[in-house]
Amino acid sequence: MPQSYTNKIEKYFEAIKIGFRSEIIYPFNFLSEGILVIIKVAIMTALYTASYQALGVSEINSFGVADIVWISMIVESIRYSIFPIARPISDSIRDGAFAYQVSKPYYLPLYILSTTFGQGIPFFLTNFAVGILACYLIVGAVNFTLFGLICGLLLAFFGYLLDGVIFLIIGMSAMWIEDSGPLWWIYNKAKFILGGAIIPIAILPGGLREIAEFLPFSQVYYSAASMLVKFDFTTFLTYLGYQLIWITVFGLLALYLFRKGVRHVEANGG
Amino acid sequence: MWKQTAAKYLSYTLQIKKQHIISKMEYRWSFFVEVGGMFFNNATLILLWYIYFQRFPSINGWGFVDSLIMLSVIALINSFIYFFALGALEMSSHIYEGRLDNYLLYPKNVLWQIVISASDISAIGDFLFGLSLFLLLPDIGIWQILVFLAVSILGAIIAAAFSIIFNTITFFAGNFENPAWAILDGLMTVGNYPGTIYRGAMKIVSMTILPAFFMVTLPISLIKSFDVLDFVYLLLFTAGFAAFAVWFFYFGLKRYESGNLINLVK
Repeated sequence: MPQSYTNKIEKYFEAIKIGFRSEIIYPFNFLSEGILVIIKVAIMTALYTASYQALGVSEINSFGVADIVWISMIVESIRYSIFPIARPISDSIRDGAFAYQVSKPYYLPLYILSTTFGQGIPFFLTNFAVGILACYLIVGAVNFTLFGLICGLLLAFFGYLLDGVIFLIIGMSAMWIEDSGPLWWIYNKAKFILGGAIIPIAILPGGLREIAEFLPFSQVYYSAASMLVKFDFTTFLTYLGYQLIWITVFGLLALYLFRKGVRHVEANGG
Repeated sequence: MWKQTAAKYLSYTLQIKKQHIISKMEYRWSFFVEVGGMFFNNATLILLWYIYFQRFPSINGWGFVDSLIMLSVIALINSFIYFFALGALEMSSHIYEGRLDNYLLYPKNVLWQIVISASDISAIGDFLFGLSLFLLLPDIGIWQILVFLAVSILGAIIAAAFSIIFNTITFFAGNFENPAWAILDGLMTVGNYPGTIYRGAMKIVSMTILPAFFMVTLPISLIKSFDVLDFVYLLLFTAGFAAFAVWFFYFGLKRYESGNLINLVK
């Protein structure tokens, strides 16, 4: 690989390290998120135990209570590890800092994605470790496979990228709509409802399940979580295809908005 | 005497809140987008419970309408705490950065000033959503509306007191901002699910460490079927919990170290 490309890539690895180091100095911060994961595991167990009992079934579409709780734990572990980058981007556009940042010797969207990826690592590792322990103690183990683990992690990476690109678009929308906060809330809520954290897509009724599986909200984290817990190669390929479609669509949109937007931003002097 | 003091504090609070609204109205488009956005954001949760109850008709006697009452109560609680008491939620950073000096110098009660020092304008969207959803529910009369407003205010006091207690830990442990937010999130998360699902240890947790039972479950039960004794229990719990939060804050305040930052304009 030519030296110039290596240098370019190294910059973003450094950004990941900076993000990581900036968070590990506050262990209280990421350890406290682990508490939320434990609470969520306990709630999901209570909710689905009561719901399955009410229906008088032990499985729906071959998913039992333990599968649902594990899937929910993985989705939440990732969700609680993500830094909502839309808000700082939106704020920096409003206060003029964005115009200063774009002049730096890096590609700003990639720099933001890399830094926040690094920041999220200690949160994810803590959440995941605490979540595994909580799930194991509360609902017991599920069958992880090595292949499922590798494929699940691949989907999790693309899911992170998809989420980051959508957040970038929402953050950059502040160039035109002044405050992108409401868009950010609604996107988060869409992920909450159709992202499998509360109602796993697998137990939704037929038509709704197919629509929800295709939408980007479930492809952000649910696809990875469901493959980790119940691996199926055909479903994996389908999810991977959906993710690549959405990453391409939103990636091109983000690129267009970034190029168009940098011509409009102004730095606030002073 | 106490009536005069209460009137003075009420007037002072309303003046501060008026200032918060005026400053937000400076960006008029942003103001309406935030309020409307929060309204829509809350409304999407109706879809979540609708989908859920399509799959599971009832959970231990809890149905879709119960979830709608729950959404109304939580929206109103959120509106009260984020509009009137956002300062309680953000207190940790003021403490560890030594920025309480302003409040210590003014003649009004320190804790009260901190609690009302900030507002999130999107809380108006929460209020409009909570109230309008509740008014659209079946069999709602004046009495239910009064009970709904009363129990939501009590729920907001519990949430604010809870936040004060965990933010006060900053006096002893240093930077406690994220844990305080995470624990408040934990309380809200427990409150956001049907109260009838909690059994055993979770029931005990929801009545003690994360008192969602008193903040949401008991209020919903009172709205559906008012019981004087239950209401008295709720009042006593709220008063006791708030009193403990106030005592704990002043106990922690003795350990406050100033950052020597004086900024007269907030």
